[in-house]
Amino acid sequence: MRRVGTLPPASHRARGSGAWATPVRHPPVRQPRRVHHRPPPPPVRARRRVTPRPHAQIGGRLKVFRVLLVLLLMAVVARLVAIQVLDSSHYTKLAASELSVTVADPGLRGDVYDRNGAVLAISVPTKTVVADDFQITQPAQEARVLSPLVGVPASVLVPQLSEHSGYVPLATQVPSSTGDKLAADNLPGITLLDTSERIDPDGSLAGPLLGQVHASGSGASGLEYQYNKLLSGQAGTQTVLESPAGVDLPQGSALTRSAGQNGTGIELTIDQPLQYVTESALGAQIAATGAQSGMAIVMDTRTGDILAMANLVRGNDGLGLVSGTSQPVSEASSNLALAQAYEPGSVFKLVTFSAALQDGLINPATSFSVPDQIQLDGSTFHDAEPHPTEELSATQILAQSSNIGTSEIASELGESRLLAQVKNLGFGQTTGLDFPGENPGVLADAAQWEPTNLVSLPIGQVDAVTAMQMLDAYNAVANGGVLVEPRLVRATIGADGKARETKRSASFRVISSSVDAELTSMLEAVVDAGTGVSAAVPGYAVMGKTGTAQIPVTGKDAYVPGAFMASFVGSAPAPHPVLSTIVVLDHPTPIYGGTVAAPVFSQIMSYALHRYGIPTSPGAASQAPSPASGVADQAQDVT
Amino acid sequence: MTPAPAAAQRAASVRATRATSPRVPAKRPSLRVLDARPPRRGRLLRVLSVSLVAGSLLAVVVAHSMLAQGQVRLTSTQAQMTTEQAVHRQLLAAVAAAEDPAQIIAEAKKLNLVPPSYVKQLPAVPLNTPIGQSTTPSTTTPSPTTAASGASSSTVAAAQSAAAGR
Repeated sequence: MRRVGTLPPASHRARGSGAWATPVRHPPVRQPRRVHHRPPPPPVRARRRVTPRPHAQIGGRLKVFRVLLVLLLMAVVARLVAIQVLDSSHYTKLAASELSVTVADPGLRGDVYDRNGAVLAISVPTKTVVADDFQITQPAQEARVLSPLVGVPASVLVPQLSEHSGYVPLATQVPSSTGDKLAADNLPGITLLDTSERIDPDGSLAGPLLGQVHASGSGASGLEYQYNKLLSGQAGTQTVLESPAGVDLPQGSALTRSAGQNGTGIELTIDQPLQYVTESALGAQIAATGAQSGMAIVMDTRTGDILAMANLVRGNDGLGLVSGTSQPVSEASSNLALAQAYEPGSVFKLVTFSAALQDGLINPATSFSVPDQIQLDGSTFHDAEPHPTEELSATQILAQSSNIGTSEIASELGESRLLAQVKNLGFGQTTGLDFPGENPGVLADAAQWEPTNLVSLPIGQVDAVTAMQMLDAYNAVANGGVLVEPRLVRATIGADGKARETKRSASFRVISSSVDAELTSMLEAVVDAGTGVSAAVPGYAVMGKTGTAQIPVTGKDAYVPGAFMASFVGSAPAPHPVLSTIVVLDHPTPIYGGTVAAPVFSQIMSYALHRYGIPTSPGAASQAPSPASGVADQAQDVT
Repeated sequence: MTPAPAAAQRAASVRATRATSPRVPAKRPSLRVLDARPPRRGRLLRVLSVSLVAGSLLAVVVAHSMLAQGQVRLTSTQAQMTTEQAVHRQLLAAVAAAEDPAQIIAEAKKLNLVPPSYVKQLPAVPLNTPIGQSTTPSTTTPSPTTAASGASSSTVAAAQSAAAGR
């Protein structure tokens, strides 16, 4: 039976639709009965068949559209996945490359200090100004702005800014402060590149020792070359984001950063004021004697530290002029004290005397009958000055630098012992400094030994040595018979500013203590009453030896007439020296080491001993040698 | 099939009822289609969600702007630090150049400073010597610089005094 006029409860209706939900059987609710008048049914017509075609077509099209839409969305999603997931790194790089700019972050070269922290070489950041003239539309106007800042006339800048080459360096080594002003002007087409400049604040002081630096910033010579790996800074890069207009984007600083690191500094054993005094004294003597060149080294006896190393040449062809000289004297282009081997002359007699004392063949008082010349194998050997045959003690032979007396001692010593002592004192090998271009010297070849070598070798001919080798051998005597290797770099200075001391010099005993004491007294006699009186330092006992060596002709068995190497090498205060010094002059006039080199030694040592507060020697002569004592009154040596 | 007399009877009964009973107006039942008060919990949730999203977006924007501001300051500070380091090194070089012995001597000469003509040498006395019993008198010697020949005599003294000041 059909119920009419009743409504199901609200819970049975579909929410919001107003339609009847599926009827659920519930207990009947009694409602007042209403009687509906059913409208009369419509007249029955003949049913016409209606084709549902248009509705079906729309539905079909919608389905197709829906499928296409889904496919399109799927394609978009697939592409999205490909871009965002599969190829994300590739597209990230592409995006970054559009905005990222890699900027060089150069590390500065390490500084060079002297033993007291004085700066000998320092690198300062600078800028190189480069123009991209394709971007410059008003060259004249830009040139006017640039000119005072880069120090180039506007008339020179205008054609450079109009070249249309794309890269025109306008100025190099522009100070950073100037670079900042230029950057603030923001001139179109002007770029600033980070560079650095190597500055030697003391000018050319110790130039051959410090060496040169290439424009690229790498060491070219000297210590700059030797310690290039340590001194060189490590260049870094920094990738930042920039807008196409060149404005830094803040988030760019977080991209990649490999910070440049400054190089490690080095602290030398050199003492800057002493270096200056050494160069001044040597330069003055070069100018006064007309020598072609000169070398001088001051060494700490105990440690082997090189306190000063001067290499000068006459003229202005060197690295830089030395101030205060009567004639132009400049720094040599190379470190002659380590690179130049020369026949040392009489200073080499140390080898003969030390070996003979060591072997017990002589003592300081051993007497020899010494003529003024001898003939050997067709060659004539003679002393510096003619004299009758006289009895001379070993000490006198050394003090007066008798060639003949020395050859007599050497003949007792013999060839093999002589050659062994040459090597024992460090000749024929580098000193351990590993300095670029260091010369090991030239030694007589035992296989090609000639009888005359037994006379010429002991007096400092045949063999060639460097000034450093000779000083090191004499320093061994001053150091109680212990040879100590020289040292030029005392410490390295890290990024934290702390100094780390380098390895201490190795040392070897080459002469026994007893022999060393005898040698010391004999070498003191050279300065007290021998050829080296001009080396005396007032208030201090000095030991040393003079040398006046002939200069051989290159490639020939002959010597250059009238050409000599004058030298003096010694230590103070005897008998326990703390400083050793050698002075060598090439082609001086007068020729004698005792005349031209010894005074320079005295001058340098006088300053150095006072500077380091060395107590005076008890009983030492307090007066300087008389300037009047010249060649005539003074024993001389020539080999 | 329903027999026709039964239907006729029922219709007649209805008509009779209508004719005899008074007409009573039928009371229309309350037909509530929509709830008078929609549930408030859903709206609150929506408001909260929108507020949260908007607030989050605002916070992100603020944080980003603060980050950008910090980065700008950092970049500026780094540039300033680089500049100051460069200036510091230039000043170091300038100080080192001023300490050059040749420079000091030149300045000393401008001030008419001259090296001493002599140096008083104090004698070396052993540490075990009683005070006042030193037999070696002090000696006065020419200055090492004046005793030495050459043009560098004054320069040595000046460098010496310069070194003493270190």
